[in-house]
Amino acid sequence: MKKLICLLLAMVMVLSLVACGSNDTGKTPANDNKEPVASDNNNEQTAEKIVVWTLANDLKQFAEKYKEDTGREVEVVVFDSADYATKIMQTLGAQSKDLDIFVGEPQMLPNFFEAGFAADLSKLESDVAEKLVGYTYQAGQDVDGTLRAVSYQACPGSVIYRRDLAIEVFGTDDPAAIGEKFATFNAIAETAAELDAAGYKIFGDTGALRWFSTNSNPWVNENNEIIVDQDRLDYFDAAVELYQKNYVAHASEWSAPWYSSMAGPLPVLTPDTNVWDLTGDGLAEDIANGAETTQVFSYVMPSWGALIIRDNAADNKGKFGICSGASSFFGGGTFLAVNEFSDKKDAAIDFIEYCTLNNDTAQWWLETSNGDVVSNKEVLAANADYQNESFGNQNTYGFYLEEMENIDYSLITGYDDACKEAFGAAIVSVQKGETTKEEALKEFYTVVTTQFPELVIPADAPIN
Amino acid sequence: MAIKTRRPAGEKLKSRNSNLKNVNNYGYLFCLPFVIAFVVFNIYPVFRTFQMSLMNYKGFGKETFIGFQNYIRAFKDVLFRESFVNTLKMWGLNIVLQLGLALLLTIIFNDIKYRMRGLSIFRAIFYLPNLIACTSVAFLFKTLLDWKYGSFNQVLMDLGIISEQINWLKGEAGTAQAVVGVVGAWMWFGNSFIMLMAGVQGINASYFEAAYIDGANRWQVFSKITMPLLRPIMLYVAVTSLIGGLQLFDIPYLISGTTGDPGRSLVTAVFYLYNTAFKNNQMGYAAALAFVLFLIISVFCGIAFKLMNRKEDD
Repeated sequence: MKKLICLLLAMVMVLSLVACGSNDTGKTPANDNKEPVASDNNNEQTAEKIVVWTLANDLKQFAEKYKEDTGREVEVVVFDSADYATKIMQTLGAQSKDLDIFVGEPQMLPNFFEAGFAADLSKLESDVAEKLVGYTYQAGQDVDGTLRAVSYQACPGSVIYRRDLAIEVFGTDDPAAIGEKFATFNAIAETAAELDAAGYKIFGDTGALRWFSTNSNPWVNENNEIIVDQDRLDYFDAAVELYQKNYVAHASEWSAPWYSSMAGPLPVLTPDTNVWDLTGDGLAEDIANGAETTQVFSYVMPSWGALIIRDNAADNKGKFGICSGASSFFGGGTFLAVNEFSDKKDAAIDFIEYCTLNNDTAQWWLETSNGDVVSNKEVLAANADYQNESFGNQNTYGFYLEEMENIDYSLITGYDDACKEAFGAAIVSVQKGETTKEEALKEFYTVVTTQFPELVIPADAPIN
Repeated sequence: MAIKTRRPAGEKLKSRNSNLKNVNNYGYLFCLPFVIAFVVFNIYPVFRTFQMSLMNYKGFGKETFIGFQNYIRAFKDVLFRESFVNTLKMWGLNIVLQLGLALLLTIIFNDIKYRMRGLSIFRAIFYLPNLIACTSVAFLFKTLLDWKYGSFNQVLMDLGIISEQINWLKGEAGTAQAVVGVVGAWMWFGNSFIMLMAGVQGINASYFEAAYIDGANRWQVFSKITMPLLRPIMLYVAVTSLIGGLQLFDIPYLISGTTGDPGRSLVTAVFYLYNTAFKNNQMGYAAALAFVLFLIISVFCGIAFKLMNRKEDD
């Protein structure tokens, strides 16, 4: 009897182990059946219900509207952005059918495409090419030019500036005139000096300049050469000058002082201040106690940044304007792709089509999101007269539509993040006086070529 | 002379049945779950990692065989070399403090003249830091050592030891590395202390009594009796610390806010490997780095054992 019990226990252990190690490819009975299957708790639509894995809550609203309009159900699962790419890689690496649609930001998409996770969306291609903003169409294509992801959003960037301070310092708040003040890195440095003389700081910190770092050349060209052109050297010099002359507020993006600066004066901070320990209340207390203050003139962000300004501006709401910067750029955006292993591809494509190509949906999202920029050109053009209250009744959609025409997606490469990070680190080391510009640039090339041995330093590099 | 007996018919079958019935053979069955788990979770990953190290592989998509190119690259990689030196610096300080403190406490608690009481309580207290998750330890020290609001700077300033706040974690590279070394020592000295205590308690007490009767002082007892007899256990502590220390990752990763700053000084070898695999998507090269690290650790361990054997031979 004892032996039998021992044998049974051993078997249980072995089987449980096998069960733990089994590769779950989502072959649940519900998933295996392509036809609708009714369960005890759900109605007959459950089997056709598609599942979306995403990074933000936006798609929940889309799903609700989709159900209202079509009666079809979409389950939206939201993940933390830090874990998301890994989660997708692991799940779809196991060819799971647990999800039918997944999202990706532009920098994630090439990996998802190369891994073979995104299904071919060529059937939507002609509409996407015709209706959506050019760069979003290009970002959704794989290296062979096959469409694999489509976005309902567009995220063009801009300089968001304080109109009241602009009138006080420059005598005008006209976006075209202020845009000239940000047209080049040298112009930005001059503008920063003017603002500083008036007691204001041009940006929260010099990180704002990074958005303009891809202007006329890619970071890596077709010969695998790392490109540091005059524009990038100007960016380098401007970032160092702004930092060392305290033309910026030393309030890093996403820190409490940075948010607080949108609503009003900020205590003068030094480069050594650890802004991550500061709180809005603490800053207000410092001001109440008579601390010397300054104000931040502008912020450089993609269109979603306008929502951040709107939500944090408090009494300054309506005092902002938007204008072009040293280059047109974009940042982020939610692209939808269909899981290559899904059994419900048609239903998934239908939902993507509904979210991205349907003019009514795009119009609804413009109104519902109260500030998000859609990728649908027709809808943006139809709202070109819309006056945005947060931005002094400026016509923001018309501005963004024009700005997006200038975005050159061919300048984007898979090395951009690594190059920008290494270049940023080189700038910081010079800003802090730890090294010279020449040494920092050498270090930049060393870091990038070590991480990516396939890249080369061109003969005309500034260190040669 | 062996006597051959005729095997009766059916004995082979019987023998097989008796093998199954033999209770001793059930041991194999009981080991099976572990063996399977070991093969699946330990052996297979090692072989798979080696296979990947010979490939140009991003962790997804196609794998291309490139021979030993990843290994050649690893030996030329200045950033890997830099990260390895960072690791050695942090581990070096850690092991000196960890072993030194553990040894000091061991001597105090084993001194027959002091007759310290409450050993079990102290042992538990010293071991406690080892039970705290690395994440918690990292955030604890990050808060304590904060440049402007950290308690540590405030206490030092209140005591008049420093006049200005020290930026422990984001200032100088050496300071940040020292912090990681000290934190590691704080976490692990309790563990070393327990091992050294076990080693000392294994030494026959009559040696110490005889030495004291013969008029030996504390230093003579320590240097002539305790230390020589503790050498094997000290070496064990040092080798296990070396293996763990060269794989240092979590504390520097978290304490630097995942950046490795200031100036890459907190990027350890495994930190670099992690970035290579999951940030740069170079899984094949990261696998080669893992094997190079394994090789380096093996060489270090070999040297340590050689040193031990030489001392014992002497």
